[in-house]
Amino acid sequence: MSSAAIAPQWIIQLENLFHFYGKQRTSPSVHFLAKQEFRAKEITVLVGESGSGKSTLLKMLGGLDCPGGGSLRVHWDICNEPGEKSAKAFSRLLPHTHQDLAHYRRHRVAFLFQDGGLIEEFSVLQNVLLPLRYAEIPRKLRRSRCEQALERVGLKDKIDKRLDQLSGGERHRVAMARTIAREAAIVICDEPTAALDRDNAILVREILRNEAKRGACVFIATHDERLINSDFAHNIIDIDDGVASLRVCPSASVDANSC
Amino acid sequence: MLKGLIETFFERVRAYIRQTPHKLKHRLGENLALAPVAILARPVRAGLMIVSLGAGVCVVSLSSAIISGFSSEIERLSFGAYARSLVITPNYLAADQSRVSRLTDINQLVEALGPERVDGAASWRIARQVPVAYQAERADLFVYGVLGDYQFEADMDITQGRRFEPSDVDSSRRICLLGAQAAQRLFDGRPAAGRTIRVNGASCHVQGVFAEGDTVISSRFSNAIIAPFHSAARYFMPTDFLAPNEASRQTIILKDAELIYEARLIADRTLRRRHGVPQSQPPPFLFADPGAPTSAMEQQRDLISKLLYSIAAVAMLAAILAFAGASWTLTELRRRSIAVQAIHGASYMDILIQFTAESLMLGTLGGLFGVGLALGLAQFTTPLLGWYAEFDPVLLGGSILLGVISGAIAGSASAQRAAKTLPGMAVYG
Repeated sequence: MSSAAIAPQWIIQLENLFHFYGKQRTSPSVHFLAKQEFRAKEITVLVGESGSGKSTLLKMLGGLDCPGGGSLRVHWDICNEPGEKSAKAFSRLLPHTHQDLAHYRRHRVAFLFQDGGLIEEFSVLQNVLLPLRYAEIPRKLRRSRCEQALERVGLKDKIDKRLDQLSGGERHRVAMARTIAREAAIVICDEPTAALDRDNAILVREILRNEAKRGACVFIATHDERLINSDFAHNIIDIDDGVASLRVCPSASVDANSC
Repeated sequence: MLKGLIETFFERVRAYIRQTPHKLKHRLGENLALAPVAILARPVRAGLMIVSLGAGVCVVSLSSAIISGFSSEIERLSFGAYARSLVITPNYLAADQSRVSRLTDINQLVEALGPERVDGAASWRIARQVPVAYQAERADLFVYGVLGDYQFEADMDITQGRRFEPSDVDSSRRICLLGAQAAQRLFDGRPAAGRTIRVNGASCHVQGVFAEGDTVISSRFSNAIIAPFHSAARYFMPTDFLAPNEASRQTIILKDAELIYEARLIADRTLRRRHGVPQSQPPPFLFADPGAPTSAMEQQRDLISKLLYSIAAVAMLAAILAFAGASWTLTELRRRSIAVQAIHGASYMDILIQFTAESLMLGTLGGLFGVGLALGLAQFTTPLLGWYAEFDPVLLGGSILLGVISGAIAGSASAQRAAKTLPGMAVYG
């Protein structure tokens, strides 16, 4: 994949999307009334009270959960992986099956979580390699991508260390390296700066900005005021009592992030 | 419900196979490559699972090897042709046994039994502790005088010289064949064939030397010399109560071991008639039962087999349950890691293949460990049992295969459990 090949067109399109919790499907817990499109190179921040439905929306966007109804379309031929056969442009309606969701996550999505979501028993390299294995990235590319990603987060010298030999901040940087190495079309982040010191929080912000600059469509659920501002985010989705509304930030244009 | 689960499983397998061969190969390779990484990430737990399964495999393998060794021991004791022989010895408890072992008796017995039942016959005259000397070397040896088909019992190879021809056996020439140990004692590794030794003070030409026998009956000739019956009776044996034409033992080799009871009836009738002994009196002869020890041992073997295989089955079952339990617990502990894998794109089949591969690898290692342990333990059991625990390639391969299959079976439930892990669990519980 080359970043230049990515067109700034919509990657994800939501329409009347809702989700139910539990077996009683009486009223939806999260609801998008309007049709919304999210483009490449955009950062979308999800804000709202705890329990308002931010994570639910992220799970649906990341292919971790199936919507209760409505439409969630993915523009499928954007960000083809190296070696992946270029398909004719089409959009796909999510969800389909668990198999399809796995395929979607494998080829389109990178994740960054508050606790890192690392496998404790694996080494730094194995953790960063993991999504690349499933994404069917050629072996020759994997190692170099991992090294580059770890270099960007300042952990190249700890590539063969086990996680229990790293500090909390370093572990979070490993998770960031994993997200970078994946070079995915869609980046999903859930509270990426929570419980981080100032330096690491800045690093996270820069990395996410660079991911958007590369061409990814970035979604962040956060309470961090530093991320909820128009200098950083292009779109802000306010979720209030399960109902989501989109606010576009004109000052943070795609071009601004490209600077 | 079960049918639904099975259908879902096969549907997913089909979906996996439907992918292009390149992708299938790639993903299969990746999942198989992750398995050793996951095993090595938890070396202590993996080691305990290997030991657990290996212990079961060891018990099965060792039991089989012991029974195999016991069977070989039975074969070694089955005496070859001797086991299907009618063996007649004097009854020393009878009032008069001096007339029963005449050399002519055996000819009449062979005639009565008929050539269709008989392979060969031999008369033996045996003396113990006979002084034998070659130059300064001396030894007290058994002397076997033989007339007839001696090679059925003395079926050892010849290492020096040559065997007796029928003309040698029928003659009164002072010639002999030396057993392996006897040759070693007298000649200490030097060539013995063609030399002259002294047996009971009489000179005797050594015509050949036997190799060590591999059956019990042939090994009795190891520390002995075999000479023609008449020369042995005349020159090489101390004077005893046997007449010159009387034998210590007469052997008729039957064509089939099944004939032995019928042959005994015929022999009993023939010998009683010949020696005028009515049925009301005890016979002056006895029939030895060469197959009896073998039969007894076979019964023992069957009993031991049942016992050992029962123990082995219980041990293997316990090992599989322990492995399955450990595997299940480990899967529970790893569910978050599995969910992380799922988040990054691992599908149901990816996880299933990875976990099955892990179980197969641990099973293989368990099988290898079990076989190694069994081989080691066999070194200790051999002196205790008095026979070798025999490991042949089929047994070794079968034991390893048992480990592999047990690993696959024991790990299947946990692999299914792992494959069903939802990705959201990694971050949202």
